[in-house]
Amino acid sequence: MREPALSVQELTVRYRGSDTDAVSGVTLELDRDRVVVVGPNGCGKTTLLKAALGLTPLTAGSVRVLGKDVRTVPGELGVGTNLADVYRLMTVPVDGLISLWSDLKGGSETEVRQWMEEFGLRSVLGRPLHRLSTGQTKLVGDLLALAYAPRLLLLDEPFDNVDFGRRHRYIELLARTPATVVMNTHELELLQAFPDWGLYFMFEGQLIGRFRARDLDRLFVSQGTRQGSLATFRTAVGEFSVTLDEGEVPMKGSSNLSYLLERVA
Amino acid sequence: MSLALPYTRAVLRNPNLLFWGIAFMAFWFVLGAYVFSVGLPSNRASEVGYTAAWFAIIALFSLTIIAMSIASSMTYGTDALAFSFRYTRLTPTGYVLSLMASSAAVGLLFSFVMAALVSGLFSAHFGTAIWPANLAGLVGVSLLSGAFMMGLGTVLVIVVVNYLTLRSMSFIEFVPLVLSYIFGFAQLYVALPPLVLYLSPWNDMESLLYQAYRGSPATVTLATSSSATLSWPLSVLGLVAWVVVLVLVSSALLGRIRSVSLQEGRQI
Repeated sequence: MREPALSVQELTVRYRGSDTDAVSGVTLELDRDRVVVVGPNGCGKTTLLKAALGLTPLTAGSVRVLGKDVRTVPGELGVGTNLADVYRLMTVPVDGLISLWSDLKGGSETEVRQWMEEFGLRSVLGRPLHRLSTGQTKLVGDLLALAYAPRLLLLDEPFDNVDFGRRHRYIELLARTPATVVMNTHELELLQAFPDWGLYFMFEGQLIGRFRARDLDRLFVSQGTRQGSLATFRTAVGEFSVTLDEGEVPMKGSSNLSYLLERVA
Repeated sequence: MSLALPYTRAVLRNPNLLFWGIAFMAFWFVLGAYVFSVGLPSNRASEVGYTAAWFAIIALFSLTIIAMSIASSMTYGTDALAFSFRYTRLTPTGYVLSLMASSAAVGLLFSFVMAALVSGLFSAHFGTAIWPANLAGLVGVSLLSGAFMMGLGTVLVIVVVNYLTLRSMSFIEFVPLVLSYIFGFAQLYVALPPLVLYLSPWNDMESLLYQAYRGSPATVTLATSSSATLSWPLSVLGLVAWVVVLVLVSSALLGRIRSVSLQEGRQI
């Protein structure tokens, strides 16, 4: 039987010295699927991604990537991510980085070099990652993530500091990939570019969903437990319900998710 | 697939390493040739032995600096290593061997630069040509020494990253250099038991570097040519055993490398 591309079971991550969970009891199973995780800064999105990649120790629960335990997965080539730190194996120019990564992934350099041209990144080829702007670093990570035919793609804020034209082009590339995708963002406006994707919200380390990105305009948050709600969750300020077409505060109406729950409460 | 070539290129472009590994060592050679040689008996045997001892100990320090420089750069890429071992073809053993190959190649280059500096300065001062006697031996011991230093550096870095805090890195990274000084100078002036000299990798390297330059076996005390001689096959055996152990240990530990933030390394 085929295992899901990503299977996260009751995952909890608590950093050393912290008295709260960065990720709390998250369960998520995805296969040939694309989801976007939306939440304010510091809600645990990146930690979830890093835990899914095995870059953060799991406090409790389990993660399986393409059928293998993330703590012991050896040489699974089908996983891509745009986290820039994973590309800092040594100080080499981007040009050398592409050659090195193609070698490590056992793939062709052609596609990623073509994308670098398309995205106007030829000028950065001679410079190492730490000499690039934030947006250029993000784009190099985004493109390396998509290269080498990943089956599972874990993207952390792929559009941060990326200009409109390149965002649009990257959205087109994302639409074409057959990979299972988990994409973090704190920008609700981005969701209209991914109407067919699944949607989760993340608050205080909890993953809430699943919803449909196309339904964002119809989602509301209300205090307490409501009949027929799509999801309920508890935070430091109380219990909340997510409902369709009616409720106290529209999800989309909150430009800043950090204040959404406070408004409801 | 190998990281050795890009690593070697990156190392050779590092101005700090070139300064501490070559320029600073050249300064010591100048002192050795023109300052500390005062009072040395004026005969060829003394001058050759003195030159070989200076070469052995300074080349040892130079090799240590190369390895520690490469190894400490590992702390800047813990996320990359943790990711690469899971999601690329890179294996911990492949990584260690690539780094060792890189360190050995750079070590070879630095050893020959050291040999050239020593030959030039000491020959000029003593007024007689004092060249390395066994170039093949010099190549062998330089490669082995570079590999050993890299293995040691790797193990120390992983111990810090996985089991200590990154703040202790600034202390731990000097351990190989401190041990080089302790064992290196000890063999110059102190009659250590031969078993210690064979078991200590620093003394294996120093003895072999000395022998490669002088062309005759190292003595228990390098400054005293009349002391007992050491067996070079045992020194080679000791060094090879250390390299093998370090490859095995570092490969086993690297597979579990913890991803750390460099901010953990802040001292203040």
